[in-house]
Amino acid sequence: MAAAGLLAGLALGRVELVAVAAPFALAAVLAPALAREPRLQVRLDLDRERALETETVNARIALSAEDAAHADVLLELPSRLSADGDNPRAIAVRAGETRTVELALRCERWGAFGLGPALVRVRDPLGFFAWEGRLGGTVPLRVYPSVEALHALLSPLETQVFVGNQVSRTKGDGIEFADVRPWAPGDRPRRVNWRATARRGDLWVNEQHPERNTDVVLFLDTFTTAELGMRGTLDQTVRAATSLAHRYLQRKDRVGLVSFGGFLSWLLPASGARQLYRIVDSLLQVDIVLSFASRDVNVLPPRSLPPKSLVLAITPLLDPRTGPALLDLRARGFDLVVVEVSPVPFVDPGERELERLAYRLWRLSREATRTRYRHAGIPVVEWIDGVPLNIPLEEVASFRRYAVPARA
Amino acid sequence: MYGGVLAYVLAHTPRAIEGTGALGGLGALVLVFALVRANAALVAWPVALLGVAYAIALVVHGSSVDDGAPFVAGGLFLCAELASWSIDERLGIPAERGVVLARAFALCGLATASLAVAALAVALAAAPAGAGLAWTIVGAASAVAVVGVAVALARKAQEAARSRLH
Repeated sequence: MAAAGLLAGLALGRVELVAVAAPFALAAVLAPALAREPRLQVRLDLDRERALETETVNARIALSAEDAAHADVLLELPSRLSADGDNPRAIAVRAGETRTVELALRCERWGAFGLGPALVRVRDPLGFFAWEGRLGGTVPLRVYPSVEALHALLSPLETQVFVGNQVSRTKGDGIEFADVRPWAPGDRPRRVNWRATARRGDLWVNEQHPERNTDVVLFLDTFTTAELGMRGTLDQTVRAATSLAHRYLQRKDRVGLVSFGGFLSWLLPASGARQLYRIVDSLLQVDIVLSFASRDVNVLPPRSLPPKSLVLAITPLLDPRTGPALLDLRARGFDLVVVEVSPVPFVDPGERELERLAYRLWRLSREATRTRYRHAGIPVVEWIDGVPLNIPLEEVASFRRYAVPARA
Repeated sequence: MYGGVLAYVLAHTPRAIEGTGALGGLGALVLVFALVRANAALVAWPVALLGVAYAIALVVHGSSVDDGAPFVAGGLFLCAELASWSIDERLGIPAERGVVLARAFALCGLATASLAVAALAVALAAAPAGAGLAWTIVGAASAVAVVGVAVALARKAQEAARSRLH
Protein backbone atom coordinates (compact mmCIF):
# COMPACT_ATOMS: atom_id res chain seq x y z
CA MET A 1 0.00 0.00 0.00
CA ALA A 2 2.91 2.29 0.84
CA ALA A 3 4.60 1.51 -2.46
CA ALA A 4 1.36 2.11 -4.39
CA GLY A 5 0.87 5.44 -2.66
CA LEU A 6 4.39 6.58 -3.34
CA LEU A 7 4.22 5.56 -6.99
CA ALA A 8 0.84 7.26 -7.39
CA GLY A 9 2.25 10.40 -5.80
CA LEU A 10 5.16 10.36 -8.22
CA ALA A 11 2.95 9.68 -11.21
CA LEU A 12 0.37 12.33 -10.37
CA GLY A 13 2.87 14.78 -8.96
CA ARG A 14 0.99 15.06 -5.67
CA VAL A 15 2.97 15.22 -2.48
CA GLU A 16 -0.21 14.54 -0.44
CA LEU A 17 -0.24 10.97 -1.72
CA VAL A 18 3.35 10.56 -0.60
CA ALA A 19 2.31 11.91 2.78
CA VAL A 20 -0.60 9.42 2.93
CA ALA A 21 1.74 6.54 2.05
CA ALA A 22 4.43 7.68 4.51
CA PRO A 23 2.89 6.17 7.70
CA PHE A 24 2.55 2.78 6.03
CA ALA A 25 6.10 2.99 4.67
CA LEU A 26 7.34 3.99 8.11
CA ALA A 27 5.60 1.06 9.74
CA ALA A 28 6.91 -1.28 7.06
CA VAL A 29 10.46 -0.16 7.75
CA LEU A 30 10.21 0.04 11.55
CA ALA A 31 8.55 -3.35 12.05
CA PRO A 32 11.38 -5.54 10.70
CA ALA A 33 13.91 -3.27 12.37
CA LEU A 34 12.32 -3.81 15.79
CA ALA A 35 11.40 -7.46 15.33
CA ARG A 36 13.66 -10.00 17.05
CA GLU A 37 13.13 -13.71 16.97
CA PRO A 38 12.00 -14.49 20.51
CA ARG A 39 13.94 -16.93 22.67
CA LEU A 40 11.48 -18.52 25.04
CA GLN A 41 11.80 -21.29 27.57
CA VAL A 42 8.52 -22.97 28.37
CA ARG A 43 7.91 -25.65 30.98
CA LEU A 44 4.65 -27.43 31.58
CA ASP A 45 3.94 -29.06 34.96
CA LEU A 46 1.00 -30.69 36.65
CA ASP A 47 0.63 -30.85 40.40
CA ARG A 48 -0.09 -34.58 40.09
CA GLU A 49 -0.26 -37.22 37.41
CA ARG A 50 -3.28 -39.15 38.69
CA ALA A 51 -6.74 -37.93 39.55
CA LEU A 52 -10.26 -39.16 39.90
CA GLU A 53 -13.15 -37.98 37.80
CA THR A 54 -14.57 -34.58 38.84
CA GLU A 55 -11.33 -33.71 40.62
CA THR A 56 -9.25 -30.70 39.69
CA VAL A 57 -5.62 -30.80 38.62
CA ASN A 58 -3.53 -27.64 38.51
CA ALA A 59 -1.41 -27.07 35.43
CA ARG A 60 1.42 -24.55 35.41
CA ILE A 61 2.99 -23.18 32.26
CA ALA A 62 6.18 -21.30 33.10
CA LEU A 63 7.53 -18.95 30.42
CA SER A 64 10.88 -17.24 30.59
CA ALA A 65 12.26 -15.01 27.86
CA GLU A 66 15.66 -13.54 27.12
CA ASP A 67 14.00 -10.45 25.64
CA ALA A 68 10.67 -8.90 26.55
CA ALA A 69 7.85 -10.58 24.68
CA HIS A 70 4.10 -10.68 24.49
CA ALA A 71 2.93 -14.24 24.15
CA ASP A 72 -0.40 -15.90 23.54
CA VAL A 73 -0.39 -19.19 25.43
CA LEU A 74 -2.81 -22.03 24.78
CA LEU A 75 -2.85 -25.45 26.37
CA GLU A 76 -4.84 -27.70 24.08
CA LEU A 77 -7.13 -29.92 26.11
CA PRO A 78 -8.93 -33.11 25.18
CA SER A 79 -12.71 -32.94 25.29
CA ARG A 80 -12.74 -34.84 28.59
CA LEU A 81 -10.87 -32.08 30.37
CA SER A 82 -11.92 -28.48 30.81
CA ALA A 83 -10.08 -25.46 32.13
CA ASP A 84 -11.34 -23.11 34.79
CA GLY A 85 -9.73 -19.86 33.73
CA ASP A 86 -8.61 -18.19 30.57
CA ASN A 87 -7.19 -20.56 28.02
CA PRO A 88 -5.73 -19.16 25.75
CA ARG A 89 -4.29 -16.12 27.48
CA ALA A 90 -2.06 -13.25 26.36
CA ILE A 91 0.69 -12.38 28.80
CA ALA A 92 3.63 -10.03 28.87
CA VAL A 93 7.03 -11.46 29.80
CA ARG A 94 9.84 -9.10 30.67
CA ALA A 95 13.44 -9.83 29.77
CA GLY A 96 14.92 -12.38 32.16
CA GLU A 97 11.61 -12.78 33.98
CA THR A 98 9.69 -16.02 34.44
CA ARG A 99 5.92 -15.81 34.24
CA THR A 100 3.63 -18.63 35.23
CA VAL A 101 0.21 -19.28 33.77
CA GLU A 102 -1.88 -21.41 36.10
CA LEU A 103 -4.84 -23.39 34.87
CA ALA A 104 -7.23 -25.44 36.96
CA LEU A 105 -8.12 -28.48 34.88
CA ARG A 106 -11.40 -30.15 35.67
CA CYS A 107 -11.35 -33.87 34.95
CA GLU A 108 -14.77 -34.37 33.41
CA ARG A 109 -14.29 -37.96 32.25
CA TRP A 110 -11.82 -40.76 32.76
CA GLY A 111 -8.97 -41.34 30.36
CA ALA A 112 -5.23 -41.37 29.86
CA PHE A 113 -4.04 -38.10 28.38
CA GLY A 114 -0.83 -36.51 27.27
CA LEU A 115 -1.06 -32.79 27.92
CA GLY A 116 1.06 -30.35 26.00
CA PRO A 117 3.17 -29.09 24.48
CA ALA A 118 1.65 -25.65 24.92
CA LEU A 119 0.91 -23.58 21.85
CA VAL A 120 2.79 -20.30 22.12
CA ARG A 121 2.56 -17.36 19.73
CA VAL A 122 4.81 -14.35 20.14
CA ARG A 123 4.28 -11.13 18.17
CA ASP A 124 6.73 -8.34 17.47
CA PRO A 125 6.00 -4.99 19.21
CA LEU A 126 4.13 -3.62 16.17
CA GLY A 127 2.25 -6.82 15.44
CA PHE A 128 3.71 -7.32 11.97
CA PHE A 129 5.41 -10.65 12.65
CA ALA A 130 4.37 -13.66 14.67
CA TRP A 131 6.32 -16.71 15.75
CA GLU A 132 4.43 -19.81 16.75
CA GLY A 133 5.53 -23.03 18.29
CA ARG A 134 4.68 -25.96 20.49
CA LEU A 135 6.80 -25.72 23.60
CA GLY A 136 7.02 -27.19 27.05
CA GLY A 137 6.99 -30.93 26.43
CA THR A 138 4.25 -33.38 27.20
CA VAL A 139 3.11 -34.47 30.64
CA PRO A 140 0.91 -37.49 31.29
CA LEU A 141 -2.33 -37.32 33.20
CA ARG A 142 -4.40 -40.31 34.16
CA VAL A 143 -7.98 -39.70 35.20
CA TYR A 144 -9.49 -42.74 36.85
CA PRO A 145 -13.19 -43.46 36.64
CA SER A 146 -15.11 -42.98 39.85
CA VAL A 147 -16.00 -46.19 41.64
CA GLU A 148 -19.61 -47.09 42.26
CA ALA A 149 -20.44 -48.41 45.71
CA LEU A 150 -21.49 -52.05 45.33
CA HIS A 151 -23.35 -53.52 48.26
CA ALA A 152 -23.23 -57.13 47.19
CA LEU A 153 -21.10 -59.08 44.76
CA LEU A 154 -21.86 -62.15 42.75
CA SER A 155 -20.69 -65.33 44.35
CA PRO A 156 -19.06 -67.87 42.08
CA LEU A 157 -20.31 -71.42 41.78
CA GLU A 158 -16.90 -72.74 42.78
CA THR A 159 -14.11 -71.22 44.84
CA GLN A 160 -10.35 -71.59 44.64
CA VAL A 161 -8.12 -73.28 47.19
CA PHE A 162 -6.67 -70.13 48.75
CA VAL A 163 -8.06 -68.44 51.81
CA GLY A 164 -10.36 -65.55 51.15
CA ASN A 165 -13.62 -63.97 52.21
CA GLN A 166 -15.94 -66.06 50.07
CA VAL A 167 -17.81 -68.87 51.80
CA SER A 168 -17.14 -72.00 49.81
CA ARG A 169 -19.85 -74.50 48.93
CA THR A 170 -17.53 -77.32 49.95
CA LYS A 171 -17.10 -78.46 53.54
CA GLY A 172 -13.98 -78.03 55.60
CA ASP A 173 -12.43 -75.83 58.26
CA GLY A 174 -14.22 -72.56 58.44
CA ILE A 175 -16.64 -70.40 60.37
CA GLU A 176 -19.96 -70.82 58.59
CA PHE A 177 -21.96 -73.84 59.77
CA ALA A 178 -22.62 -76.38 57.03
CA ASP A 179 -23.94 -79.65 58.48
CA VAL A 180 -23.54 -82.29 61.18
CA ARG A 181 -22.13 -85.77 60.69
CA PRO A 182 -21.17 -88.74 62.88
CA TRP A 183 -17.86 -88.48 64.64
CA ALA A 184 -14.89 -90.10 62.97
CA PRO A 185 -11.40 -90.77 64.32
CA GLY A 186 -9.30 -87.62 64.00
CA ASP A 187 -12.11 -85.16 64.67
CA ARG A 188 -11.26 -82.61 67.30
CA PRO A 189 -13.39 -82.55 70.46
CA ARG A 190 -14.20 -78.84 70.03
CA ARG A 191 -16.14 -79.74 66.89
CA VAL A 192 -18.51 -82.08 68.72
CA ASN A 193 -22.11 -80.91 68.53
CA TRP A 194 -23.27 -81.80 72.05
CA ARG A 195 -26.97 -81.18 71.40
CA ALA A 196 -27.06 -83.57 68.46
CA THR A 197 -24.93 -86.03 70.41
CA ALA A 198 -27.33 -85.94 73.39
CA ARG A 199 -30.36 -86.40 71.15
CA ARG A 200 -28.95 -89.31 69.10
CA GLY A 201 -26.80 -91.06 71.66
CA ASP A 202 -23.68 -91.11 69.42
CA LEU A 203 -21.02 -88.50 68.90
CA TRP A 204 -21.85 -86.03 66.16
CA VAL A 205 -19.61 -83.23 64.96
CA ASN A 206 -20.21 -79.95 63.14
CA GLU A 207 -19.03 -79.34 59.62
CA GLN A 208 -18.23 -75.86 58.28
CA HIS A 209 -17.88 -74.12 54.96
CA PRO A 210 -14.32 -72.90 54.54
CA GLU A 211 -13.63 -69.28 53.49
CA ARG A 212 -11.91 -69.29 50.17
CA ASN A 213 -11.04 -66.79 47.51
CA THR A 214 -12.31 -66.71 43.95
CA ASP A 215 -10.90 -65.95 40.57
CA VAL A 216 -12.90 -63.34 38.73
CA VAL A 217 -12.26 -62.52 35.10
CA LEU A 218 -13.76 -59.31 33.76
CA PHE A 219 -14.42 -60.02 30.11
CA LEU A 220 -14.97 -56.74 28.26
CA ASP A 221 -16.49 -56.60 24.82
CA THR A 222 -14.67 -53.79 23.03
CA PHE A 223 -15.65 -54.58 19.47
CA THR A 224 -17.99 -51.64 19.18
CA THR A 225 -19.79 -49.02 21.18
CA ALA A 226 -22.96 -46.95 21.02
CA GLU A 227 -22.46 -43.36 22.06
CA LEU A 228 -24.52 -40.25 22.58
CA GLY A 229 -22.50 -37.21 23.51
CA MET A 230 -19.86 -38.11 26.05
CA ARG A 231 -21.72 -41.16 27.33
CA GLY A 232 -21.73 -44.54 25.73
CA THR A 233 -21.59 -48.25 26.28
CA LEU A 234 -17.78 -48.33 26.40
CA ASP A 235 -17.82 -45.64 29.07
CA GLN A 236 -20.27 -47.68 31.14
CA THR A 237 -18.28 -50.86 30.54
CA VAL A 238 -15.13 -49.27 31.92
CA ARG A 239 -16.99 -47.87 34.91
CA ALA A 240 -18.56 -51.23 35.71
CA ALA A 241 -15.23 -53.04 35.33
CA THR A 242 -13.49 -50.55 37.62
CA SER A 243 -16.15 -50.84 40.31
CA LEU A 244 -16.21 -54.64 40.15
CA ALA A 245 -12.42 -54.96 40.18
CA HIS A 246 -12.16 -52.59 43.12
CA ARG A 247 -14.78 -54.46 45.15
CA TYR A 248 -13.58 -58.00 44.35
CA LEU A 249 -9.98 -57.09 45.13
CA GLN A 250 -11.12 -55.59 48.42
CA ARG A 251 -12.57 -59.02 49.16
CA LYS A 252 -9.13 -60.58 48.61
CA ASP A 253 -10.19 -62.29 45.39
CA ARG A 254 -7.98 -62.53 42.36
CA VAL A 255 -9.18 -60.45 39.44
CA GLY A 256 -8.12 -60.65 35.81
CA LEU A 257 -9.10 -58.67 32.77
CA VAL A 258 -9.73 -59.59 29.16
CA SER A 259 -10.39 -56.87 26.64
CA PHE A 260 -11.98 -58.76 23.77
CA GLY A 261 -12.32 -56.65 20.65
CA GLY A 262 -10.49 -55.36 17.63
CA PHE A 263 -7.46 -55.02 19.88
CA LEU A 264 -7.04 -57.97 22.22
CA SER A 265 -5.44 -57.52 25.63
CA TRP A 266 -5.50 -59.31 28.94
CA LEU A 267 -4.22 -59.23 32.49
CA LEU A 268 -3.67 -62.46 34.37
CA PRO A 269 -5.69 -62.77 37.59
CA ALA A 270 -3.92 -61.51 40.68
CA SER A 271 -4.87 -59.85 43.92
CA GLY A 272 -3.87 -56.80 45.86
CA ALA A 273 -3.74 -53.05 45.41
CA ARG A 274 -1.11 -53.27 42.72
CA GLN A 275 -3.43 -55.40 40.61
CA LEU A 276 -6.13 -52.75 40.99
CA TYR A 277 -3.77 -50.12 39.58
CA ARG A 278 -2.79 -52.50 36.78
CA ILE A 279 -6.42 -53.11 35.90
CA VAL A 280 -7.42 -49.46 36.03
CA ASP A 281 -4.40 -48.40 33.98
CA SER A 282 -5.28 -51.08 31.48
CA LEU A 283 -8.89 -49.93 31.41
CA LEU A 284 -7.81 -46.38 30.61
CA GLN A 285 -6.21 -47.72 27.44
CA VAL A 286 -9.33 -49.58 26.39
CA ASP A 287 -10.65 -48.22 23.15
CA ILE A 288 -12.69 -49.32 20.19
CA VAL A 289 -10.40 -50.52 17.42
CA LEU A 290 -12.24 -51.23 14.22
CA SER A 291 -11.37 -54.68 12.95
CA PHE A 292 -13.01 -57.26 10.75
CA ALA A 293 -10.82 -60.09 12.01
CA SER A 294 -12.76 -62.94 13.52
CA ARG A 295 -11.96 -63.65 17.16
CA ASP A 296 -12.63 -66.55 19.46
CA VAL A 297 -11.46 -67.42 22.93
CA ASN A 298 -8.79 -69.76 21.56
CA VAL A 299 -6.58 -66.75 20.96
CA LEU A 300 -6.50 -66.05 24.68
CA PRO A 301 -3.73 -67.62 26.78
CA PRO A 302 -5.16 -70.35 29.02
CA ARG A 303 -3.84 -68.67 32.17
CA SER A 304 -5.98 -65.62 31.51
CA LEU A 305 -9.07 -67.77 32.09
CA PRO A 306 -8.27 -70.00 35.09
CA PRO A 307 -10.49 -73.02 35.75
CA LYS A 308 -13.39 -72.49 38.15
CA SER A 309 -13.21 -68.75 37.64
CA LEU A 310 -16.23 -66.52 37.57
CA VAL A 311 -16.31 -64.80 34.18
CA LEU A 312 -18.20 -61.54 34.20
CA ALA A 313 -18.81 -60.52 30.63
CA ILE A 314 -19.67 -56.84 30.22
CA THR A 315 -20.95 -56.32 26.73
CA PRO A 316 -23.39 -54.19 24.76
CA LEU A 317 -24.21 -57.30 22.66
CA LEU A 318 -23.76 -55.29 19.50
CA ASP A 319 -21.10 -57.22 17.65
CA PRO A 320 -21.96 -60.67 16.30
CA ARG A 321 -18.48 -61.96 17.21
CA THR A 322 -19.18 -61.66 20.92
CA GLY A 323 -22.02 -64.18 21.05
CA PRO A 324 -20.10 -67.27 19.87
CA ALA A 325 -17.21 -66.41 22.17
CA LEU A 326 -19.50 -66.23 25.19
CA LEU A 327 -21.27 -69.46 24.30
CA ASP A 328 -17.86 -71.06 23.82
CA LEU A 329 -16.84 -69.97 27.31
CA ARG A 330 -20.02 -71.44 28.74
CA ALA A 331 -19.45 -74.66 26.83
CA ARG A 332 -16.01 -74.90 28.41
CA GLY A 333 -17.64 -74.91 31.83
CA PHE A 334 -16.86 -71.42 32.98
CA ASP A 335 -19.20 -69.82 35.46
CA LEU A 336 -20.34 -67.11 33.08
CA VAL A 337 -22.51 -64.07 33.79
CA VAL A 338 -23.39 -61.56 31.10
CA VAL A 339 -24.01 -57.95 32.13
CA GLU A 340 -25.51 -56.37 29.06
CA VAL A 341 -24.68 -52.69 28.89
CA SER A 342 -27.80 -51.54 27.14
CA PRO A 343 -27.15 -49.48 24.02
CA VAL A 344 -30.85 -48.62 23.78
CA PRO A 345 -30.57 -45.19 25.50
CA PHE A 346 -27.91 -44.21 22.98
CA VAL A 347 -29.89 -45.15 19.88
CA ASP A 348 -32.37 -42.84 18.21
CA PRO A 349 -35.52 -44.76 17.21
CA GLY A 350 -35.96 -42.44 14.25
CA GLU A 351 -38.88 -40.40 13.01
CA ARG A 352 -40.10 -42.31 9.98
CA GLU A 353 -42.21 -45.42 10.13
CA LEU A 354 -39.53 -47.52 8.45
CA GLU A 355 -36.93 -46.39 10.97
CA ARG A 356 -39.22 -47.20 13.86
CA LEU A 357 -39.91 -50.63 12.39
CA ALA A 358 -36.18 -51.27 12.08
CA TYR A 359 -35.73 -50.12 15.67
CA ARG A 360 -38.41 -52.52 16.92
CA LEU A 361 -36.91 -55.38 14.93
CA TRP A 362 -33.50 -54.60 16.35
CA ARG A 363 -34.84 -54.69 19.89
CA LEU A 364 -36.62 -57.98 19.18
CA SER A 365 -33.41 -59.48 17.85
CA ARG A 366 -31.65 -58.41 21.04
CA GLU A 367 -34.34 -60.08 23.11
CA ALA A 368 -33.88 -63.25 21.05
CA THR A 369 -30.15 -63.15 21.74
CA ARG A 370 -30.79 -62.89 25.47
CA THR A 371 -33.18 -65.82 25.33
CA ARG A 372 -30.54 -67.89 23.54
CA TYR A 373 -28.07 -67.19 26.34
CA ARG A 374 -30.59 -68.03 29.03
CA HIS A 375 -31.33 -71.34 27.35
CA ALA A 376 -27.61 -72.07 27.51
CA GLY A 377 -27.74 -71.44 31.26
CA ILE A 378 -26.08 -68.06 31.10
CA PRO A 379 -27.66 -65.38 33.26
CA VAL A 380 -28.08 -62.19 31.23
CA VAL A 381 -29.06 -58.92 32.84
CA GLU A 382 -29.63 -55.62 31.14
CA TRP A 383 -27.91 -52.62 32.67
CA ILE A 384 -29.39 -49.32 31.55
CA ASP A 385 -27.52 -46.04 31.79
CA GLY A 386 -28.37 -44.22 34.99
CA VAL A 387 -29.35 -47.33 36.94
CA PRO A 388 -26.99 -48.38 39.76
CA LEU A 389 -24.91 -51.45 38.98
CA ASN A 390 -26.20 -53.05 42.17
CA ILE A 391 -29.55 -53.71 40.56
CA PRO A 392 -28.41 -55.92 37.64
CA LEU A 393 -26.02 -57.73 39.99
CA GLU A 394 -28.90 -58.47 42.35
CA GLU A 395 -30.93 -59.74 39.38
CA VAL A 396 -28.14 -62.18 38.54
CA ALA A 397 -27.93 -63.29 42.15
CA SER A 398 -31.66 -64.04 42.25
CA PHE A 399 -31.44 -65.84 38.91
CA ARG A 400 -28.64 -68.01 40.26
CA ARG A 401 -30.53 -68.70 43.48
CA TYR A 402 -33.42 -70.31 41.66
CA ALA A 403 -31.84 -71.60 38.46
CA VAL A 404 -30.25 -74.98 38.38
CA PRO A 405 -26.63 -74.63 37.31
CA ALA A 406 -26.37 -76.19 33.88
CA ARG A 407 -23.47 -78.36 32.93
CA ALA A 408 -22.52 -77.99 29.33
CA MET B 1 -12.13 7.28 12.08
CA TYR B 2 -12.97 6.03 8.59
CA GLY B 3 -16.09 8.19 8.51
CA GLY B 4 -14.11 11.25 9.55
CA VAL B 5 -11.58 10.82 6.77
CA LEU B 6 -14.36 10.12 4.27
CA ALA B 7 -16.22 13.27 5.36
CA TYR B 8 -13.03 15.28 4.92
CA VAL B 9 -12.51 13.88 1.43
CA LEU B 10 -16.11 14.59 0.43
CA ALA B 11 -15.94 18.10 1.84
CA HIS B 12 -12.73 18.61 -0.09
CA THR B 13 -14.20 17.70 -3.47
CA PRO B 14 -17.68 19.03 -4.05
CA ARG B 15 -17.17 18.66 -7.80
CA ALA B 16 -16.47 14.95 -7.78
CA ILE B 17 -18.58 14.00 -4.84
CA GLU B 18 -20.33 11.16 -6.69
CA GLY B 19 -17.13 9.31 -7.56
CA THR B 20 -15.34 9.82 -4.27
CA GLY B 21 -18.53 9.17 -2.33
CA ALA B 22 -19.10 5.88 -4.17
CA LEU B 23 -15.54 4.73 -3.57
CA GLY B 24 -15.62 5.78 0.08
CA GLY B 25 -19.02 4.14 0.58
CA LEU B 26 -17.83 0.95 -1.03
CA GLY B 27 -14.79 1.03 1.24
CA ALA B 28 -17.01 1.53 4.28
CA LEU B 29 -19.08 -1.51 3.27
CA VAL B 30 -15.94 -3.60 2.84
CA LEU B 31 -14.68 -2.41 6.22
CA VAL B 32 -17.94 -3.34 7.92
CA PHE B 33 -17.89 -6.72 6.18
CA ALA B 34 -14.27 -7.30 7.26
CA LEU B 35 -15.11 -6.41 10.86
CA VAL B 36 -18.25 -8.51 10.93
CA ARG B 37 -16.53 -11.53 9.38
CA ALA B 38 -13.33 -10.89 11.34
CA ASN B 39 -11.32 -11.06 8.13
CA ALA B 40 -8.08 -9.18 8.64
CA ALA B 41 -7.01 -9.71 5.04
CA LEU B 42 -9.82 -7.43 3.85
CA VAL B 43 -8.86 -4.47 6.03
CA ALA B 44 -6.38 -3.11 3.50
CA TRP B 45 -9.05 -2.73 0.81
CA PRO B 46 -11.25 -0.02 2.40
CA VAL B 47 -8.11 1.95 3.28
CA ALA B 48 -6.90 1.62 -0.31
CA LEU B 49 -10.32 2.63 -1.67
CA LEU B 50 -10.43 5.70 0.54
CA GLY B 51 -6.88 6.50 -0.55
CA VAL B 52 -7.96 6.32 -4.20
CA ALA B 53 -10.95 8.56 -3.40
CA TYR B 54 -8.57 11.03 -1.81
CA ALA B 55 -6.29 10.90 -4.84
CA ILE B 56 -9.28 11.66 -7.10
CA ALA B 57 -10.23 14.52 -4.84
CA LEU B 58 -6.72 15.92 -5.03
CA VAL B 59 -6.61 15.69 -8.82
CA VAL B 60 -10.04 17.31 -9.16
CA HIS B 61 -9.28 19.94 -6.58
CA GLY B 62 -6.36 21.47 -8.39
CA SER B 63 -2.70 22.14 -7.96
CA SER B 64 -2.54 23.64 -4.44
CA VAL B 65 -1.11 21.42 -1.70
CA ASP B 66 -3.67 20.10 0.75
CA ASP B 67 -2.51 20.98 4.27
CA GLY B 68 -4.79 18.36 5.78
CA ALA B 69 -2.92 15.49 4.11
CA PRO B 70 -1.00 14.50 7.29
CA PHE B 71 -4.29 14.10 9.13
CA VAL B 72 -5.73 12.04 6.29
CA ALA B 73 -2.60 9.89 6.45
CA GLY B 74 -2.81 9.49 10.22
CA GLY B 75 -6.52 8.79 10.02
CA LEU B 76 -6.14 6.09 7.40
CA PHE B 77 -3.28 4.50 9.29
CA LEU B 78 -5.16 4.51 12.59
CA CYS B 79 -8.25 3.18 10.87
CA ALA B 80 -6.30 0.19 9.53
CA GLU B 81 -4.56 -0.48 12.83
CA LEU B 82 -7.69 -0.17 14.95
CA ALA B 83 -9.62 -2.42 12.58
CA SER B 84 -6.87 -5.05 12.88
CA TRP B 85 -6.92 -4.72 16.66
CA SER B 86 -10.68 -5.06 16.68
CA ILE B 87 -10.45 -8.26 14.64
CA ASP B 88 -7.74 -9.59 16.98
CA GLU B 89 -10.07 -9.00 19.91
CA ARG B 90 -12.65 -11.17 18.20
CA LEU B 91 -10.33 -14.15 18.71
CA GLY B 92 -11.29 -13.96 22.36
CA ILE B 93 -7.84 -14.23 23.86
CA PRO B 94 -8.02 -12.42 27.19
CA ALA B 95 -4.98 -10.18 27.46
CA GLU B 96 -3.25 -8.85 30.51
CA ARG B 97 -3.39 -5.12 31.15
CA GLY B 98 0.31 -4.89 30.33
CA VAL B 99 -0.18 -6.43 26.90
CA VAL B 100 -3.05 -4.08 26.05
CA LEU B 101 -1.16 -1.03 27.30
CA ALA B 102 1.96 -2.00 25.34
CA ARG B 103 -0.05 -2.34 22.15
CA ALA B 104 -1.84 0.95 22.78
CA PHE B 105 1.49 2.71 23.42
CA ALA B 106 3.00 1.19 20.29
CA LEU B 107 0.00 2.31 18.25
CA CYS B 108 0.06 5.83 19.69
CA GLY B 109 3.78 6.12 19.07
CA LEU B 110 3.46 4.90 15.53
CA ALA B 111 0.52 7.21 14.84
CA THR B 112 2.45 10.20 16.18
CA ALA B 113 5.51 9.29 14.17
CA SER B 114 3.32 8.83 11.09
CA LEU B 115 1.78 12.22 11.56
CA ALA B 116 5.22 13.75 11.88
CA VAL B 117 6.59 12.00 8.80
CA ALA B 118 3.53 12.95 6.73
CA ALA B 119 3.76 16.56 7.91
CA LEU B 120 7.46 16.55 7.05
CA ALA B 121 6.68 15.27 3.56
CA VAL B 122 4.12 18.04 3.02
CA ALA B 123 6.47 20.63 4.47
CA LEU B 124 9.30 19.51 2.20
CA ALA B 125 7.03 19.99 -0.78
CA ALA B 126 6.73 23.64 0.11
CA ALA B 127 10.50 24.04 0.17
CA PRO B 128 12.02 25.50 -3.00
CA ALA B 129 13.72 22.82 -5.01
CA GLY B 130 14.82 22.41 -8.54
CA ALA B 131 12.84 20.59 -11.16
CA GLY B 132 13.91 18.56 -14.10
CA LEU B 133 15.12 15.15 -15.19
CA ALA B 134 17.42 14.62 -12.20
CA TRP B 135 14.59 15.02 -9.68
CA THR B 136 12.36 12.78 -11.72
CA ILE B 137 15.07 10.09 -11.74
CA VAL B 138 15.56 10.46 -7.99
CA GLY B 139 11.82 10.17 -7.43
CA ALA B 140 11.53 7.10 -9.66
CA ALA B 141 14.52 5.48 -7.94
CA SER B 142 12.93 6.16 -4.55
CA ALA B 143 9.70 4.57 -5.69
CA VAL B 144 11.55 1.52 -7.01
CA ALA B 145 13.45 1.31 -3.72
CA VAL B 146 10.20 1.40 -1.80
CA VAL B 147 8.80 -1.37 -3.95
CA GLY B 148 11.99 -3.34 -3.34
CA VAL B 149 11.68 -2.85 0.40
CA ALA B 150 8.04 -3.89 0.24
CA VAL B 151 8.95 -7.09 -1.62
CA ALA B 152 11.76 -7.84 0.84
CA LEU B 153 9.39 -7.29 3.76
CA ALA B 154 6.76 -9.49 2.23
CA ARG B 155 9.36 -12.24 1.89
CA LYS B 156 10.48 -11.81 5.48
CA ALA B 157 6.89 -11.86 6.65
CA GLN B 158 6.37 -15.13 4.82
CA GLU B 159 9.47 -16.61 6.42
CA ALA B 160 8.35 -15.40 9.84
CA ALA B 161 4.98 -17.00 9.32
CA ARG B 162 6.71 -20.26 8.47
CA SER B 163 9.27 -20.09 11.26
CA ARG B 164 8.55 -21.89 14.48
CA LEU B 165 9.55 -21.18 18.02
CA HIS B 166 11.99 -23.68 19.41
